[in-house]
Amino acid sequence: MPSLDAVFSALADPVRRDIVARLSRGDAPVADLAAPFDISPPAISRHLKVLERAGLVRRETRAQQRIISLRPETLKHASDWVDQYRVFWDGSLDRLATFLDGDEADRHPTTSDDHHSKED
Amino acid sequence: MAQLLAAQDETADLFTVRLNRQIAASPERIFDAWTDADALAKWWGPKGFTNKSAAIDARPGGAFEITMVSPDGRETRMAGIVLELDRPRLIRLEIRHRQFEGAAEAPGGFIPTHVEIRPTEEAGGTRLDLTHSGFLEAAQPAGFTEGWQGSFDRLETLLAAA
Repeated sequence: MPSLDAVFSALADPVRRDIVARLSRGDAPVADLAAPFDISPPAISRHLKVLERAGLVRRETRAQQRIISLRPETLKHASDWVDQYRVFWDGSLDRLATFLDGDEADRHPTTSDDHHSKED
Repeated sequence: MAQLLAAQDETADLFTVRLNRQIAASPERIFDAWTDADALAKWWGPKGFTNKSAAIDARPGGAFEITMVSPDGRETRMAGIVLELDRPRLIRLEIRHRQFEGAAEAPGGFIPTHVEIRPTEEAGGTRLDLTHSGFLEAAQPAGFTEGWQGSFDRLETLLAAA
């Protein structure tokens, strides 16, 4: 698996993110990928090299056409890394909610007319 | 997952954490729970974690640092600086160190990412929106991370020799 640094750097560029998004809808010849952009073929080629080195795409020749395809496992590996934070914050916010609930109870000890407590 | 990416912004969204919570407390109390060290020590971290220490200098530019202990006893430090405070509407933090499992290969291990917390009052309490972003920005330009890593390596070598 290529380094996450390489993957994140590759995806930090909007043109390369757009190429990845297009490839997520299916494989494409190099010429098709270059079409929407107002940049030179060598520039597209450089972008593809960066994506290939990061392990995000692979090139192969089919029927004498150079076809680019996405390697979703690399994209997933990188987004899984960020997901550690999703899990972290999700758990932390749960505890924040619980903490504030308990704090509220501390500050307002149950009194005789405090029967209608919260349902959630 | 990949088929869902219709545009480059959605690719970027894979690398942004967005969460929200309804909390039965006022925005002010939520804000204070984020900016008070004693409070942070009580709730920061996922279920089962405890906090060995927590410190926050709650003003723009102030540092924060929390050392968590996981259920299996491993210590994890999270640190950074406070970027912006607007009680009770907004808290922005910059997280500068992360030492999750596998941090050795963490992209831009020393490059900051941003956390934004927005408590908004609504019926019965507060809606808290949290956004953690900057992972891709942190990685750009390509040479930058390597440059910093190189600097840190040199610094370590220098300190080791001293």
